[in-house]
Amino acid sequence: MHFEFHVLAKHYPVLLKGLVVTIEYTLICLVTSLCFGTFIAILRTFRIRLLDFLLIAYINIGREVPLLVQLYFIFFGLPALGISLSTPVAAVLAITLNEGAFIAEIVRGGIQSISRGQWEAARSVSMNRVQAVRHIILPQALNKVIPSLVGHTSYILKDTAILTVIAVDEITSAAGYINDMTLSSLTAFGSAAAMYVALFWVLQHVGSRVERAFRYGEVLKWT
Amino acid sequence: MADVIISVDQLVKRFGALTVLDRVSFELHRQEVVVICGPSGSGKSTFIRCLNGLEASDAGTIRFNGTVVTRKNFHEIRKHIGMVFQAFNLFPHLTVLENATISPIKILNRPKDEVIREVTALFEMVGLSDKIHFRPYQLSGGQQQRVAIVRALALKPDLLLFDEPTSALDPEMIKGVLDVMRDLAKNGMTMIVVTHEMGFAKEVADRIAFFNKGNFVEIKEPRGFFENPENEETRRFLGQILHP
Amino acid sequence: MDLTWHWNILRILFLKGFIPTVKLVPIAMFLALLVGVVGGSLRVLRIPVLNHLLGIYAYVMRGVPTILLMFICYFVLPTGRNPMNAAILALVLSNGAYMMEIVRGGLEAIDRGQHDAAKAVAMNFWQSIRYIILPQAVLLVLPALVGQLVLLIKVTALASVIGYVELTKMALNLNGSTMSPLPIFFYSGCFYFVVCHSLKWVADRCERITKERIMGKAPIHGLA
Repeated sequence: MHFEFHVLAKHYPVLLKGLVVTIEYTLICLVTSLCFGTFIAILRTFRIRLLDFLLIAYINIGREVPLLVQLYFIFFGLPALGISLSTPVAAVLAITLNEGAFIAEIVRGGIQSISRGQWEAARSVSMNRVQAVRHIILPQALNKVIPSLVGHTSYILKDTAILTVIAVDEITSAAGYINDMTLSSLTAFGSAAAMYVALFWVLQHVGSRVERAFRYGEVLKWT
Repeated sequence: MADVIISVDQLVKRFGALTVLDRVSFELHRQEVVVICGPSGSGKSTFIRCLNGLEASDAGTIRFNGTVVTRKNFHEIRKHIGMVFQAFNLFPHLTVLENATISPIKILNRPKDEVIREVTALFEMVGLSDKIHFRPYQLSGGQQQRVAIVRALALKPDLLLFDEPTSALDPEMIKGVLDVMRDLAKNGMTMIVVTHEMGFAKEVADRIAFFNKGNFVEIKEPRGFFENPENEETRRFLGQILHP
Repeated sequence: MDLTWHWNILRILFLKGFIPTVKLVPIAMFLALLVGVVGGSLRVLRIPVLNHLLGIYAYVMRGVPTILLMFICYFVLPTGRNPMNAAILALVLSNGAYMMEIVRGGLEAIDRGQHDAAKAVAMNFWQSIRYIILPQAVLLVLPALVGQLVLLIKVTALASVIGYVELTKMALNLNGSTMSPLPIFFYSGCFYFVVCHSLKWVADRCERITKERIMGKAPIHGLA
């Protein structure tokens, strides 16, 4: 088996369309997961026992059940309950719930690592809990966990590949299509792999820029 | 005159462009205790680390018991030289007793019961017999360093090297360790000690050496060293270190 | 939908789904561990060309989605289009890279002073590895390795896309024939959850125990 450039030349539009779709899903899921995960982490700071129990259950289930199973559950299961979802919505929902659990844990770790003194200081300038979280705790927590979060973006990118099973036309589906049409497996899947590595490389670079901005921006923003 | 146990001839060691040991020559006799002092970065730690091969020299010869020390026979030589480190470097996954017995039993292949008996006696000598089944993290710094000394003694070495053994200890623990070292010297152990503990040096050393910028500047018996330092550098150093 | 139906579903999922999943795990884990230990040790030695190649291997495995890797192992690599072989290969390649970095991290985390002390008590290279370095490295990375085991179990679900019949594939099949996705996928999720959660608990305990044992490694107490 060898790499057949003429096949690539003929079918690259499919791959490019897949690339666009992958990027779209990655970016959207990135935003939704970060927001949702942070939201869950914030909810946990309220320490309402029943809520906490449910949240911990969600976080554990979200992290310990494979994304594929969660995706199938949402994609096949929710319609059975009468909730009909379009494919993109189901896809984004599944990834958001899955990655959201991981991000909630990461952010929670950041929040926990903020010393008690910060809470007390916020209290002493008469902030209530919500204000304390919003102005004092959360900014510092997010700052601390930026490296972990940046690292997580690559997982979200890889998650979009799983969407191929529900017929989302991202890179892996495109490669599958080319493979079916031409039987040129190395060309099809090799190109796909190369695209993912390239995207990963881009994410790494953007990520380290973001990290750097936060590291030095911290001094400027919060003093 | 007692015979020479270790001799160093024109030893050179470079780290990149920096010459850390600049043609150092030195001789140590059996049962002699030499204290080496000097400013940080002078190369004194590098010097004694060369003696047991933890650092490889770039030029010059080291002779131990008459044999030239080369890259090939280093770990053979180390069976006769013990070393105590500033950071103790105890093995955290082993008990105190195992720290000292692992080498005699597994490396020197001496019979297990004999080794355990001897090592237990050594621990008693340093006052740690109730701690031998503890793990290093459960001991204080001074206790850990005493374990390190026993670990070095367990090999029955001909020579003991000490690399700033008390520099990482809280003040109240230093005496305990120095007492052990003093006893060792009194019982005839051959020792090279890199340290800033001048009181110890004055009392225990046969010779004190001032090491600076890659070589020995002055080596003398304690009285002459403290009262009549020949060298300007030595005098300046003594001035700094004896008047904190 | 009565209790017998649910019981049957559970039984089928367990026997025809969970068991095949479990079958994949020991082989893949063992081989991945092998890759990890050998690769990690080699990387620590910093052999010029080899280190770079292993670095590229690690980078690519971090970038390529596992599902794509499954397809590659099935279609491109010489696994004879055997779903089980392809799945195991994909798992070994991807997890092996992570294991390699974990082992490398563990070995490099061992304080330099430990190497010095091992030499000072007359150990040669292999003796110091065997008695001093390796035991500490293993204790250090054990929690991370168990974490990788959890990841491995989750990732076996992807073997379903190349036709290996494990838990997820079985669930898909059952869903196809009974059209009751909710209980079926819920039960599958439960299987994964129970296994992964128990392992995580084990990993946490391991971590706590080893922290107690290795606490104070290469201590430099007394420096204010």
